[in-house]
Amino acid sequence: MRDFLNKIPESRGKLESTIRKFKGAPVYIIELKVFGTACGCIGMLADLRGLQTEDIEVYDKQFVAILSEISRDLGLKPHLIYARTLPGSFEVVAFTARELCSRCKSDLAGFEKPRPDLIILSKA
Amino acid sequence: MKLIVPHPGHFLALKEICKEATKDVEEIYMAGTPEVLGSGRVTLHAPQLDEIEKQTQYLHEKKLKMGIALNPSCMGGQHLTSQGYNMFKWYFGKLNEIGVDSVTVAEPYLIEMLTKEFPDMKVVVSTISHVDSAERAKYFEELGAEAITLDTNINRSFEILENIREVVDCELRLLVNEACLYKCPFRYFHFNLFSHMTGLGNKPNIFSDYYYEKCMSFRVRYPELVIKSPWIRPEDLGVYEDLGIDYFKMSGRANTIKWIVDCMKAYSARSYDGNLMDLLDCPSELRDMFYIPNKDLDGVIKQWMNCERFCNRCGFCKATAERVIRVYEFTDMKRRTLSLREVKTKCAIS
Repeated sequence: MRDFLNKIPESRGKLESTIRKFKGAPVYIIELKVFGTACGCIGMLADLRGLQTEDIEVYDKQFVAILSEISRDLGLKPHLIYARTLPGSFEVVAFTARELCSRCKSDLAGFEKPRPDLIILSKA
Repeated sequence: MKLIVPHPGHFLALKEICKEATKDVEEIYMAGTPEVLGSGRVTLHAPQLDEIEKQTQYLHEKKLKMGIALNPSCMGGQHLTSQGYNMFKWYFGKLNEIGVDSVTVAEPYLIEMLTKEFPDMKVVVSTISHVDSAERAKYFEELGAEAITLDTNINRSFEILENIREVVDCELRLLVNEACLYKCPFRYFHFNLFSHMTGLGNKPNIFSDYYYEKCMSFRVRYPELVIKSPWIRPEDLGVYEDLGIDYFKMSGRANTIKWIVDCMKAYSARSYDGNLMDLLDCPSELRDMFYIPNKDLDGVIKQWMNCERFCNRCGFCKATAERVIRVYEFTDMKRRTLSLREVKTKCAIS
């Protein structure tokens, strides 16, 4: 269990330094969380600063690659990887990799843009 | 030097801060009762009048002063209604009876009202009133202000500070470590948001604190903004004292007790050998991203004393950022730091 917990800060650091490498600019991952929701989803959430929607357009493949790799390291098999934006702005404030429960599968994975603030990066 | 220290509001914090209070501490301040009047900042604890009374007595026993910050930038015009006037007058009267030493307000009407109705109570103009010139300072003095907390945007505008000192007789206070963005485009709107979040009436159910998130994002993307933010280093307080300004107020009432105590000690010692980010209030979230050795900034104030504030022509703060800012990287369960240049050039290497 301790090994798994140690993977969380490691993954935070890995995500941060990988993004900095391919973007060539400072980016800050404030916090990386592994979560379980009441509906039955499990996943990983990274709160971040310094990314904008245009970065998602340019580096979309690199984001999917690193988020998939970290998800695997944490033992997750995400059905959906997405970025959350601050509504009405260009700011990207979080990445989520999520194994979906049956309800969220239809709510989130059934549409190209299930919510205006979400940018879907990858669907399994 | 006189230091004015923030207090989150709960009695335990006050006791701990007092335990560590340095000889320079003159006043400790906290927010007032939000059921009556909000505040321009995040307020974590809402003291009722009986609590303010106990804490004020406690401070007086320690020969310290109690300040109450009631500084919303917007009250929706309530203060100019009969009901609002009566309520605020009643509340200020209670604070006066309790023996609170000063009240910090932003709204000009409240400054005049307090001066007229409660002449014994010290009225302090909040930094939220944006006093950034001698002309504006004179207006507030005319309204009755006994002390003015100057707009932090002029913390490094020495000619303006000198000019304000020349034209007003009242006490001048500088907020040393607020460290908001220089000429922040969100400043007025963020204060207004907090005013409505902490005050009376319907509180907006916001989906996010847009201004804060954007502020942090700007600094991550343009680290030189951290250097440009008008903070004052503990080492540089003497320069301001030479101008005749010797009241230094610390920002940070939403921080932990330990953070407040450490800042207080650093400013009192006029020296801090560590990460400058440890002392800054607004961008404190980024203290685990940036490492800025405070001692590497020795002497930068000499440049700022002659700064014309035309950043595009100068580039000193940007060059300073490149020189001193280091960025934390976490690998193999260890933290190390990289220079900004290393972070930026890694892209070409990889």
